[in-house]
Amino acid sequence: MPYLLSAPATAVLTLFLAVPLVMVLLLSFNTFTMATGIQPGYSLVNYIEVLGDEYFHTIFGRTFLLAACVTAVSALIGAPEAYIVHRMRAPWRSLFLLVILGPLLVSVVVRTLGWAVLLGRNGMVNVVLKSLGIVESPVEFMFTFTGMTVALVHVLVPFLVLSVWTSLRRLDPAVEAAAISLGASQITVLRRIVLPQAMPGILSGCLIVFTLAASAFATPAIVGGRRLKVASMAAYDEFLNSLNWPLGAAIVVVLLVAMVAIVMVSNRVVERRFRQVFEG
Amino acid sequence: MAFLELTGLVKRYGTTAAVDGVDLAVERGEFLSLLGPSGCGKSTTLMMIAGFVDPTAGRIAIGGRDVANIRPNNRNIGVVFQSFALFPHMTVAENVGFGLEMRGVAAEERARRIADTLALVRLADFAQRYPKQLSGGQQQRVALARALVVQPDLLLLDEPMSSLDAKLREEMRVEIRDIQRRVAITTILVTHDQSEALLMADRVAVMDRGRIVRIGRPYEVYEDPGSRFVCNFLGRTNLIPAAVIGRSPGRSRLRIGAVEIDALGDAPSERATLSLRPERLAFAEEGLPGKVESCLFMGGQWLYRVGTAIGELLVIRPNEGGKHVPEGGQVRVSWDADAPRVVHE
Amino acid sequence: MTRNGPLALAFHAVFIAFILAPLIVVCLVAFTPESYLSVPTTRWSLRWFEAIWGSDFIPAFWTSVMVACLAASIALLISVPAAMATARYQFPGREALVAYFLSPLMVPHVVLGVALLRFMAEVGLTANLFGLVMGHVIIVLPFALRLVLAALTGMSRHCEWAAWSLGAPLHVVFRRITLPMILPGLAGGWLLAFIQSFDELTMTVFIASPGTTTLPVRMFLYITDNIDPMVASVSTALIVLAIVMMAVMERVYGLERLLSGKGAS
Ligand SMILES: Nc1ncnc2c1ncn2[C@@H]1O[C@H](COP(=O)(O)OP(=O)(O)O)[C@@H](O)[C@H]1O
Ligand SMILES: [Mg+2]
Repeated sequence: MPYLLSAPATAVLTLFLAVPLVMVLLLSFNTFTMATGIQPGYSLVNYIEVLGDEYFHTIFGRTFLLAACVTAVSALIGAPEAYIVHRMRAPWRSLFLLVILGPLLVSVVVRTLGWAVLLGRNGMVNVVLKSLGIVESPVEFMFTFTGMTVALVHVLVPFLVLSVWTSLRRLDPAVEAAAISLGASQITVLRRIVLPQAMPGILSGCLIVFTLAASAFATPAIVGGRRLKVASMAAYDEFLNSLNWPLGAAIVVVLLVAMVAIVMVSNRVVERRFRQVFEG
Repeated sequence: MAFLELTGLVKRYGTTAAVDGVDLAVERGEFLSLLGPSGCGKSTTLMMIAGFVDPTAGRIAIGGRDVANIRPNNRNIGVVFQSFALFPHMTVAENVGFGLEMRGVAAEERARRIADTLALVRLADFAQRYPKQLSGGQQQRVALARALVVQPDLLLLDEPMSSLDAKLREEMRVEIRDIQRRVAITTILVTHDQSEALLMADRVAVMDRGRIVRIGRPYEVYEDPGSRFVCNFLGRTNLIPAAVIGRSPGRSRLRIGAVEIDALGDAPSERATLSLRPERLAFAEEGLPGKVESCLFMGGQWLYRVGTAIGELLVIRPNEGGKHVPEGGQVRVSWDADAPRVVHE
Repeated sequence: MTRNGPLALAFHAVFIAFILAPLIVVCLVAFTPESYLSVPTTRWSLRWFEAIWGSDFIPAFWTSVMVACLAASIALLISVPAAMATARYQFPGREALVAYFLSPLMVPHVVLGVALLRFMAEVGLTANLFGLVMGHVIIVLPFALRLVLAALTGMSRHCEWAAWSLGAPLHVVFRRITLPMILPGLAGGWLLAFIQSFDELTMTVFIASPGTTTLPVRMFLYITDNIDPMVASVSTALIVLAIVMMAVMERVYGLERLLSGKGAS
């Protein structure tokens, strides 16, 4: 009976997820030339190109550097914000949570558009910077790494806040109060009580943000443009512009494998660190 | 042949046995209570009788018929859960009428029987309310009416009163008992509350770790618990380790220190445990000398701790107005000849 | 509970400004009377909203609505029995099955897009709405399933058992008791799935054809070409739509409970 009930979902997932993924894997071993198009076969030329070419090194380096920067910035601003919201009183807390999480309901394209407007040569950021006398001539943010980072942080930081906030919610306010009544300073309480409790939330939030940032498409494409290609953008170009599908397939396979590897390694490291924290 | 028969009933979850070999026979019209501490397998037993849970081993027969292959919807049973499990999206009348609808009872007949049953549980005016709009006690009666209206062969009650407050619980005990008598339906009540079981049931089956350890009429089980577990679980008692110095059929002579006591029951070995119910102890001219170490007033009763040669004894005396022995007072503790009992470990 | 200090509140203000700034700017720009991007100061105009009518954003919007409706409905339709199986039965492979149902969460959308593009080319489904919808079903399935599962596990089994013992066969129990009781969860699952699908860009951009362009794809292609106030006014309309949905969802379920399942960009 349960197998029968889950059959439709299993079938749909297998047909439209598992089979296509295998097809992409197979596709990445095919070859391509302008003249002949896609040639079936089992060749590693695409992987040799992706892993050996300076051009792709730059793209993958940029992709993971971007993801790392976005994750770091998100953690640095998202975690304190989650704590601040956590400490707010009843109506404010849910109101601001709504403000922070609400943008998740708005298309990434719309949110990125906002940054394109803000960061442009005549955008608000430049207007403010100039009127404050910080810069003299407008600074170009569009098509820069900084611009991509800022916009992507904006897109992804709600996930981090949510993740941290969820773990903080489990924190017993009485413990904090008890620590303070025992004479601990605010800083000590934060470092010794709150941070250890929030750590799992911060780390899982970071992982979500990192994976989403590494595979992000719309924001880097709009803010970074062709000049600052990331991996997903490169795949897009191979598939829809150069029509070199096997190479595009190899790019996403490498992206997927690299991401899974990074996630797994960081999970390992985190586990080890945590064991030390709990034992020491 | 009994109406309901359980034979060697076992339910395992993984390696642990929730029910570990239960044999039970319940007569038609009888009110039996399954009593035991939380987690001893009472609910699991009941859910197997209802058919919601499949037994790992054993046999269940209702009315002489093996029900292994009969689904709950064809067993003609009524079940009342602790949570009441009323259908939140249906009115009281719809809740009560659900079972009739499933049996294809015509609308007119259905309305009449719903009204009758709601009158039986004194909820005639609440037919159009939703469960949310009722108090706990009212919800409980709806759940009972819903189970009774289909005239089931067997009524199963799983801790039906433990989510009610104390006062309401006492009222409902009597009420359910009366209704059960009136409709004369075979009933199994699961509870961890000993006074509920003793008060309501014709027979009590005490369960411990998946087995029935004692079964009998409430008075018998209370007076002659047999084992230390049942003794402790049903009411309070003084348990005193003793040496066995003499035996006759159904009686044992025990020695505790220098004191010798005759007790009812056979002692299986050289050592035995003596049980003395505190309410069976009294202060008298003759008896075991002791000193009152503490004295607590409980309203209807006085609760004494008395230090004696056989150890500290708990003594409960009815409050008969004014007179009581103060702390530090010297007393003599006496008891009737049938009060001391031998219990097994 | 201790209050936040002034420093914390200042940080909070900056953070909230950071979150809201791009959205507010988009909304302001939408009202400009000029034909280039600018924040209106003295004169406001609705000309860019009027311009939306007759633009190809409108058919794209309807494509999006249709795809999202279909994807959410299909996802719900297949996740209800799947959730019943995993929530109500113990069977070998249950854990693995749940992991499989949630696995689309692990696959970046760009990979999904590439995979489906290849798949559809192979089986001849290109430029076909069906393929697009099924791609969206894959993406929204975990979200729908999670909410249905939460509704099922949050519901007392005793209600189902009570109905069963009262003589209802299992399929009647499901229709008369289970389904009405999990209905709020189903509605939430559908809504979340709809939003997920409606906002999806990365996968869709690979498999949408000129005939099946969704609104996010249309906007993306437009923006990469040039940014003018019209796309800002479309965005504004979407922001308003999101606010309305948010209000509804907050009323009915509590937004944070719904969003804790969300994870895509
Ligand atoms: N579905 C289940 N899965 C695993 N263990 C269970 C399940 N149901 C009950 N148990 C276990 O079986 C034992 C008996 O449970 P139950 O019959 O509910 O006890 P009671 O009703 O006497 O409190 C408990 O230890 C409980 O944890
Ligand atoms: Mg129980």
